[in-house]
Amino acid sequence: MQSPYNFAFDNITNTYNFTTKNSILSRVAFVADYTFSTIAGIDIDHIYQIVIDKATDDIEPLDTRVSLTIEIIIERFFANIDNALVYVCSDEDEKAKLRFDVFDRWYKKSTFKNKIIKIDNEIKFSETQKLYTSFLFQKSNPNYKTLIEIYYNIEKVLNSGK
Amino acid sequence: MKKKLKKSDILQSLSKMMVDKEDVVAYIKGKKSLSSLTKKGIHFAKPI
Repeated sequence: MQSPYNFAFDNITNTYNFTTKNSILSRVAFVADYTFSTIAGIDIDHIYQIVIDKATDDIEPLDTRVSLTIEIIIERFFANIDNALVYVCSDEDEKAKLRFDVFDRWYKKSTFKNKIIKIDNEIKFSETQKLYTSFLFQKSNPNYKTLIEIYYNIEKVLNSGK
Repeated sequence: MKKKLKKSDILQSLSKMMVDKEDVVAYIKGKKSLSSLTKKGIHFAKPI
């Protein structure tokens, strides 16, 4: 069975770091996001977006240990039950839908899917524009009902035409 | 009193989210400094 790479949180860079077998340094950051606060009109803390990238432009061959490592980092992030994660797929190269599907497949295969809930929202806000988004939170998050309501409100407001 | 939310508020917020993401990618690749991100109001989660 494959094992994840060793990783550590770096207090200087504020990122989780690990190095792959090809000596490629990867970093994972959880960045505070205020979209939910904007929607709710009140301060909603502990909402983050995840950013994952390599420190260099080197090409990394497919390595399943990388996704396994990221999975454990995400699980660690959810050690704080108030934390929630919003994921908006970048449409760079017009591949938002592809990224959305890859993320979904990865979640379904993850070991944490029984305790971390993912809900999706494909937000169509014009004839041609669509946002592919996911929202993840701990099953035991005390605010989950409010958070879900806010998340679904995004689409409602975007389609309100105002 | 809670203000009535407009579509433009959400689009602006989502747009900031995408810009923040691009800035953090640039930071990860060493093309931006942590202080420049902090100035833009970008903050990171730390483990408990």
